[in-house]
Formats: sequence, structure tokens, C-alpha cells
Amino acid sequence: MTPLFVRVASIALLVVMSACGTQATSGVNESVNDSSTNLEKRTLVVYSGRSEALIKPIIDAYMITHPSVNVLLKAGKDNELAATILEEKNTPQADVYITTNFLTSLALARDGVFVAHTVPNAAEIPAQYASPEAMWTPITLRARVLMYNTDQLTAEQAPTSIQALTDPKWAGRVAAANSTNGAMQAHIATLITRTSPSAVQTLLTGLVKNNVTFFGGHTDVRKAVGSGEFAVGLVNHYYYELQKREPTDNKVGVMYPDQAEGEMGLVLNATAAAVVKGGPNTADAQDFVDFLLQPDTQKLFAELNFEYPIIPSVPLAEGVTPLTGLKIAAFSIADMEAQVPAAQALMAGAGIP
Amino acid sequence: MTESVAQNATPRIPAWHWTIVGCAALLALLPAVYTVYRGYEAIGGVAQINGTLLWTLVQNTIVYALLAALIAGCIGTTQALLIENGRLPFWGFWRILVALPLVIPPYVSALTFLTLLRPHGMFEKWLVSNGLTEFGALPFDGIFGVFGSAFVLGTSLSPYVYFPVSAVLQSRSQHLSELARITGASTTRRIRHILLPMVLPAMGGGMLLVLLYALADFGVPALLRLPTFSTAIYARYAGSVDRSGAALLSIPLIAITALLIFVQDRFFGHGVTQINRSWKPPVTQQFNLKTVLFCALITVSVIPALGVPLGMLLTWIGSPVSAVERASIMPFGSIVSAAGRTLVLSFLVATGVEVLGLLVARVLRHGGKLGYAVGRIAQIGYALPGIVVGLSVVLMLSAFVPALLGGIIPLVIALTIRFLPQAIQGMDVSLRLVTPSLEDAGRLLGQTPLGVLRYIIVPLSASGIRSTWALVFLGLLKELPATLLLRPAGFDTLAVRIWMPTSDGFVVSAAGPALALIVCAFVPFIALQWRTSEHLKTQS
Repeated sequence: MTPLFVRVASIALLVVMSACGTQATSGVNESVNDSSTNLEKRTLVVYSGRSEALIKPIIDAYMITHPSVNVLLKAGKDNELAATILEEKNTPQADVYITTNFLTSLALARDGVFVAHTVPNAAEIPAQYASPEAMWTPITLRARVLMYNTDQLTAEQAPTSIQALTDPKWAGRVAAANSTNGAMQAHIATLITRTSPSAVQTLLTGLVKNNVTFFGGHTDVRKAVGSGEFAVGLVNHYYYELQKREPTDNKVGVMYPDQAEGEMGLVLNATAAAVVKGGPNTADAQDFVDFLLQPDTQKLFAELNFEYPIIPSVPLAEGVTPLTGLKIAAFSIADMEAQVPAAQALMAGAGIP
Repeated sequence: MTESVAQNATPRIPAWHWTIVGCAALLALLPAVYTVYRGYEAIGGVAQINGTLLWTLVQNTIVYALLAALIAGCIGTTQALLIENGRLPFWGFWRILVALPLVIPPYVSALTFLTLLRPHGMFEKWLVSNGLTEFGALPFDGIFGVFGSAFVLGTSLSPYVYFPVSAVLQSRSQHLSELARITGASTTRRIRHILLPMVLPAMGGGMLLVLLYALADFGVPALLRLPTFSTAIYARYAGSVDRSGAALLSIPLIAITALLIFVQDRFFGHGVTQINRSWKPPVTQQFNLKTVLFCALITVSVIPALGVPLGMLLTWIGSPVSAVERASIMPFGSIVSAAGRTLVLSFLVATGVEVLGLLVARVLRHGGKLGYAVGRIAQIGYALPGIVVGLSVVLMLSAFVPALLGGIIPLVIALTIRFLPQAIQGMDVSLRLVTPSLEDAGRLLGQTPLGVLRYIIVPLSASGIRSTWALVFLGLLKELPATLLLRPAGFDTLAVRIWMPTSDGFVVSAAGPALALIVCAFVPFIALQWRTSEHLKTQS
């Protein structure tokens, strides 16, 4: 019995190894799209803080329209990749940096790792989200909302503000993203600029005391609310839209919070892209960023992921609540960015994972 | 004679050999030292740690590790006791079955358990839809936290205990036990005076391995929402541009692990279990109520570690998904190329680590006091969980050799540091089988040191070398945290391909690469089985 077993195993190993031999040499240059084997291709390295599922369709679209470019993607967390770019400052490996949080791009721009690049349709971008020196380009907007399980709550019962989540009646029923999440960090930073550090500290300790569950990412939150494990989730608005379109566990509603008189209004955040200074392939990097801002690509962001395109003329996906008519929390990017370390410290201090 | 051997001891190791081993030791030592330095520097700085959180981490990490070791200890020992008495029908089949959980990475197990048993998960929904319970009536949230995590890891790692215990039982129990029975000892007496003294040390050694694994484990607690040091270090690493917070959190974890290594070295370090040559293969196969019951018990014992993950993964293949998840499902070709990358990387690193391990083990044994010290230093990676190794390589290279960042080299360095100790220990054990006088004979007959290595040492310790390689290869295939931190853009291994969609909550997309990884893990698994079977054959 054994010799046959062994022989089969060794043959299998040999076959696999030889089959991979060719793969190995080109392993590092493996593209996101495996069908491309043309050796003449130029390589474009993209570091993305947007989760893989939310950027890969766009990259696939780019590679179809630009068959001579092979995009290599490294997806991770915003700050993790930001730190990597800083460490690689003298020997840049990435060409493009994409972040879910424009505050990170502001910080990196200050550290001088980006090269200015103005997209052809820059005039259409609302000024308050743009980088004055064109060091980075906003791509889409996201709103911080509360989604809830409609089996458990009616629209009237759903909490109407972030502050309300500290009410004991929500104890153990709320989920949110943890402190590694860029949107969460930016949200807390915005709250600090709109209120005060001590008020935010009270809010965060209130959340922790109320047993809010903090997940590594928003997809966990939306799935847990969809399944009914939690009644309420603090998410970016499109996670509600995604959950609503799931084949199962789709009984969810959305609340755009803090809209009442005296409340601060909706907190927004922008995703952004930047061209890395001294990257191996700056020309294609600039072209790629231009591509992200083209109306067709902006439409992809709207329709695949239900985000708000940064180019206002691009229509929203069907069913997405338009931002016009909503009360938006006033903000200044520079003020917010200045509060990011404070936001991180407050979250760590409150014991948020 | 002894004197001349002692005099020969140092010249036997040539200068190039010393140099390589010295470099390996430095490579293993410097990143760890630098991480501790960076963490120490950060004390009192921006990267503060909440005291309550720190205490929670200490508690969670230790309780998780202890519970997992206990669970693995109970399961592995019971399996060994049931199987190694040699009376079960289809004896060989059961031996392979209980070892099989080795091919399934614990984080894949955790993923399947999460989907099945989470509140409002598959199982609870099924119960509710059949009117057997209502939502929230049963404590399904028990899958989260320390008990759920320990259960998943403990069941997955039961082979770590099964192997040493079964080896001990094979080596001696039959003889002594029969002897005792003949001389009229009662069952209780036999258990107390023969079985326990033999089984306990092996069980303890195996459980310590599980304990070490659990301290370093990242995937299972991350999925089952248990904050441990590993997950907290990753959260700091991923959540902040400043890496010193992660370095600071690494210090307590390094300290706990180092303490454990010390204990292991002190009490279990030299108790290597070799299958005794006088071991006899099983007596008879008996079909009766008792043995059938035993077989059923063994089957039940592998359901959590084998049945649940495989069953769930197979049902996921082709199950309906949302439009956004469809984009993250890997086409077959991509899975194959990711598998190719994983296999090639693991093959090359395992081979490199193996050679390095052999060189270090030689110095460890024959290099005098200095050699012993250098050999021990090279094993420091054992006390560094994967996440810390990854972090320390990043910190070290970015501070001193940033030009190396971005390519494959940082990953190779980290994997080498992480798996070198395993190779050194395996090689050390194998080399004990070679009598030093054989080497002297080889040298006297005119061979170079390299020739001695090639024609005497390697062939004589071949089976140990092979099984060490297989174990290292298996570990590399499944390695997640260091690879997650250090992979170059576009270089995703199967483990990363499982992790990325999982961290987005897309479990169905993780099924393809997970099954591919299990298939790949079969290669070293078979090599390990081969070794055991060869032993049995030569001895019967």
C-alpha cells in the first residue's frame, strides 16, 4: 500500500512543481487578470486601502481598456499602506496610492511622497474635497449612516443620531468598524472638530460601555445587521445598499443621522487617489488616476458600489439617497487631519480594538 | 581518545560554515532586538496602551492558549490510547484519519465554524425554520471569544499531541503493560505506574507545542472576535502610520513566549521520542462492540477539525452570492497560479531553511560553547509570533536597508526567521543518530568536511531530514500573518487569497483557495506518513 501511495504523491509533486516552474519566474509580475501573459506589458503597482472587492472591478475595467498595462494590486488598510509608502520613500515601489480616507492622503502629501497631478476634469470636483496643490484627487464620497435590521426595528424605532447609540436600550445591539478603519478614524476626527475632545471621549467610552461590537471591517457589520445578530450598525452608506441587494438576510433599513435641529448633520468622507513621487511608472500612474475620474469610471463606482461620484454630473445608482436636501456636517480637511492622532489616541484610550 | 575528539571538535567546522551560521543567528536576532528597542522607545509616547485593554489581552491570550492546549491534549491522547492498543479494525486507516486535521489551516476551520454556528448563522436558522428553537434562545454567541477560539484551535491541533503520545505508546507500552498484567498488577495499578508516567511527558510536550502555536496564532482569534496580542498588534500595525505602537505591544508577547520556551527547554527539551526498534505491530484486529464503539468515538473526535471544514467548503463552492462578492471569486486559473506561487515559495524557503538548519544544528552540537550559544540565538524566531516577525522585518529594513523593501526579500527573510528554529530542532534530532566516530573515519579517509556532510551525515539522517522538511513545508504553506504584512504587490499566496475575501466577509470566495491549500498540504502530509510507515516496515 505504501509504495504506491508514495509514488503517486511524488509524481503529483513533480507535476505540480513543473507546472509551476513557469509560474514561478513570472510570479512576482502576476497580474490581477491572469489571462494576460504578454511580456511586453508595462507594470503599474497600485496600493489600495479600498478593500479588494471594491477596487478590483475598476482595475479590471482599466486593464481591458489599456491592454498594454498590467496592474499589480496590493490591498490593505489605509494606514498600513501609508506607512509602507513612507518607508519606501527613497525607493518607491508603488505608482498609485488609493485611500478610503482623504485625511491619510493629506498627511502623506505633507510628507512629500506624492507628485502633483491635475486630472483633465479637475474643474468639476467640488473644491472643499480637493487638494489645493493637486497632490491627490478625491474619487468618491461616502456618508456615515446607521443601518438597522427591519425585523427588529421600525423606521421610527431606529436611532436618529450617533450620540443615541450610548443609550442603554442599545446595549449589546450595535456593531461598528474598529479603530483600524480609515472611515471610522475620519469620523471620530470630524466629531472632535465639531465638538470637543472631551465630548468625543465621553461618546467613545459610552459606546464601549454599551458593549458595541467593533469589527475589522464594515462588511462584517452589514452582514451581522442583515442576519439579525445586531439591530443597528454604524457604516458607510453603501454597505446598507449592498446588504439590501444580498440574496438573503436583506431586511435592512437606513437612517441618515443627526439631521434634526441643533444636531451636527451627516459626516462625509472622500476616497482619494494620488500619484507616488518617483514611482517606477509615473506616466501610467497619471493615466490611471485620470481614468478614475472619467465619467464612465465614476459611473462604475456609483453602480457597482453605490458611492457618491465626486463628479456631480454623474448620476447616482437607483435607490441611493441623494445628498442634496440633507444636512451635511461642515468640515475643513486641514482641521480634521490635525485631529487624526487625537482620534486614534481617544479610541485606544477608550479601549476600542 | 576522548581528548583527541575534543581537540578535533572545533576544526571539524570550517570557517565558511561558521560564517553562514553566524549570519543566520544575526539575521534572526537583530529584528527582534530592534523591535523591542522601538517598543521600549515608544513607552509613554503617543502610542499609549489602555491598561484595561492590556490586562484583557494578557488574560485572553493566556486563557486561550491554555484551553486550546487542554482540548488538544484530551483529544490527541484519547485518540492515541484508542488506536495504539492495536485492536481496532482498519487500524492503519484510523492513524491517517486522526493526523489529517494537519492539512487544514486552523483559520479555515474557524471560518467554517463562524458561518455555521454564529448567532443567526446557518445552524440556528435551520433550527428556527424547523420550529425547534427561536432566535437568541440558545447561546450561539459562545462561538465567539475564548471558548469558541480555543475549541476550534484545540481540535485542529490535536495531531500535535496524538503524534508524540502514540510514539511513546508504540515504543514501550505493550511490553511493560503485558509484563505487569502477567505479574498480576491490577488495571488501576498498571495505569498509574506504567501508562501515566509514560504518556504524561509526551502529552505535556505536545500540549506545549499547541500552547506556543496558540500564543502566536492570528487567524482564529481574529475571525472569532477574541482580542489577543496577535490581533491587537495587527490592529495597531494596520490602523496607524506609526509602527511603534505595534512594537510596544509585541514586548509582552515576546516575554510570555520566551518564558514558555524556557520551560519547554528545561523540562521537555531533550526528551525526544524515537520509535523503538523493538516495537511490535498491532496484535489482532477485533470486531466487537467495544472496538466498534472506539472507532465511532475516533470518528466523532475528528468531526470538528475535519468534517465541518471540508463539508462547509464543499457546500460553498457554487453557492449563490451577491453581485459585489462575485467580483472577488477567483477563477480557476488564478487559484492554480496562486497555488503555484505558494508551492514554489514554500518549496524554496523550506529547502533553504533546511540547509541552514543542518548547518546550525552541526554548530550547535560540535561547535563548543560558542556554537551552542550561536545555535540557540538562531532559534529566537521560535519566540516570535508570525505577526511580530513580519513587523520586526519591516521595522528593521525600513530603518537600515530601505532599498530591500517592496520585493520578495523581506518576506523570505521573515519566513526564514520564523521557520529556522523548527528546522534546527528537527535536524538536531536527526543528527543524533550519526556517531561522531563515523565522521572522523570519513575525514581520516580523505574526505573534505563538505564530503563528510554529503556522503555520511545526510544519508544517515535522511528520514529525519525528510520529515523535518515536510513539517517546515507544511507550516510555510499555511503561514498567514508574516506573508500578509510582507507580500509584494501581486504576490498573493493561497493563505492571503483565503484571508483577503474573508476579511471583507466574503466566505464563499475563500472556499476555492482554501480547498486548493488543503490539496497542496497533502504533499508534505503524505511525506510524513511515508516516514512513519517506513519505520514500521523496517521494524516488522
